[in-house]
Amino acid sequence: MRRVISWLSVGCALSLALALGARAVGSERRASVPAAAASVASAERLLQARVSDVTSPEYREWRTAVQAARFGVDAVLEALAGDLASAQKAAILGSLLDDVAALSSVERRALQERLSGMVLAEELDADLGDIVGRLLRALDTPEQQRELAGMYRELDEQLAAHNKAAIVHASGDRGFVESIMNDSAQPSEAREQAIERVAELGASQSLRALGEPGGDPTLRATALRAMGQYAEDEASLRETIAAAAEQPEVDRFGRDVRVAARVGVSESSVLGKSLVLCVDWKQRVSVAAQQSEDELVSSLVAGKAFARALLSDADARAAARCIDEQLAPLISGLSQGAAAPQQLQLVAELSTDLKGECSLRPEPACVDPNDRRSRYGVELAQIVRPLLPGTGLEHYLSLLPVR
Amino acid sequence: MKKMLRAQSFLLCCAIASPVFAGDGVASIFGDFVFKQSAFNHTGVLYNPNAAQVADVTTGRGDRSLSVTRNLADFDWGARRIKGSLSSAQQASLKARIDYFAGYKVRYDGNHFNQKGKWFSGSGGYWEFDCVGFTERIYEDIGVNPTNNSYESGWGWPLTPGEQRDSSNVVVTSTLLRTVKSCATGQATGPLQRIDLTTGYSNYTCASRYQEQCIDDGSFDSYYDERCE
Repeated sequence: MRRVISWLSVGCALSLALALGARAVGSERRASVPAAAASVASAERLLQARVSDVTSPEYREWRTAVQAARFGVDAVLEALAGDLASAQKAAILGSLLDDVAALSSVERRALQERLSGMVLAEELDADLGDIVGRLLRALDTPEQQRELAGMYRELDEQLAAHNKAAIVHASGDRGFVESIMNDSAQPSEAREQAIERVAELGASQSLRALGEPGGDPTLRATALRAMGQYAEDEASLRETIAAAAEQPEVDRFGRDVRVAARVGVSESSVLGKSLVLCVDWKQRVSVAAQQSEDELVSSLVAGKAFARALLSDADARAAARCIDEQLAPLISGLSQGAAAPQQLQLVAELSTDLKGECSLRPEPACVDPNDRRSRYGVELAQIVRPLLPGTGLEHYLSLLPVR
Repeated sequence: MKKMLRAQSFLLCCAIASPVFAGDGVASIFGDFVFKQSAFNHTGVLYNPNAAQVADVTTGRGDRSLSVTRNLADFDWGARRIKGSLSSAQQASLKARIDYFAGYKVRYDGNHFNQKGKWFSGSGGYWEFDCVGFTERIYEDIGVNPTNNSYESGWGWPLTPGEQRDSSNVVVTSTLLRTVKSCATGQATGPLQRIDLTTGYSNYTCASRYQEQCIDDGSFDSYYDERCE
């Protein structure tokens, strides 16, 4: 019964907070003075409402209210000192992320000190470590970052994995993050974060050793994804794909190293990236009839990365070359000859992937009538649709894009 | 607000009556939905039946909110299978979707505003899902809709694991395990067969059929030794 009363009181506080207009403190700033004062009061109550079960409906309602509200740094610092669940602290800190630039110098300093204190004195979990690292980075204070890096070395044995990852996340010191990345005594969480930071700081070439076969699959997957994503030329993209093209290999989270590499390449900003994944996908389609079930799945994933690369490639001419020079002979051959069901599935899936990408992450290429890519998904659908009946692939008939 | 009221009445009901939830259905095929009971419940899909591993999106994992190695034993609220089952091509397509998203950073959507997935380009790019939105999304991508769309927006928002579990588009999972045995020796004469009972197959008893197939029919050749899970 105590639990019920507790739930109800939290629920009442949340309802009150919402009713009084925690939202008005946030996105709508034209509230009257009395309403604004009431909103500030309700926002403070929101920050003090402890909801320990993050899977409960109360937590969902609380988090929704927090997301909609805007809090002052003082109120946030006071809340962090209270008895809130870790997920609540993460949510409250997350609400500050978009407003960091608008903070006064006094507020920035107070927030930096509190975050540094959290990193050095409290054990952070994955979610809280992530948001603390992002905030520290957004505050962009090199001096503070250097100090934290120094403390990392000093307190090395005592700091927990996610605390270390938060410090690395915040650091702009390439020498420091490279040293963590290459230190096998450091926890995987910190080394993975270091890999990403090294790549972001423009040194993706130094990830090459970690991406080589034989290493820790988790670090390898992260390194290859970062190498692809932050590559500076086509040769580096090819090198990334080649490095991952060995045997199937999954990390401790079940992440396939080959997938991570292709995802990285597909997200790269290198002009002509689509050609790299175009050749990769074409090769897979040509041998699909002999592929095992697992290899087929891997090829379907390669198609998704290719669809993303094709639509987001800033070099429209390279994308058109992929379609007209690389793929046209292959697709034409499949439509005229006896295409294996696996090959038809790869083509049908690519067609639906192009449609899906344009719906989820619309790129200019999706809608530009002068761009060859804007109609390619439909063209593929028109070719493959008549070939599907009787192949076990009939479910694609309702998924393929139409003009 | 409807959901909020429903949640509060649910909590009151449960606190007073403490009903026992039946964990009916056992996941055995890739793609089976599995459910975990908690205050707001949780869901995932069976990813690796041989290793009893589940793909799920959950809180507390930072950028690794999507994992495909969660222990099936964590899911104590039963399992469901999409009505009519999936073709092998659909299974491959479903698995490819999970693998693809697992190649990215995935964060948990604690607000449930982006349940079925939203792409954010900041922090090197990441996807945001919640647990039930992820499982719903990957199925919808292959042309199958586990839960009516009315639960996903407007007054129906947010979609919950309980709504997916109770949907009329999914059925309680059940698999027949059958071995053909010799009437004379009782030894197996072939490999263990796994038969999906959600497809409408009806010639089974989930027990030994020695009496029926060796004695009653007078043949005394072989019989089905059956077990259901």
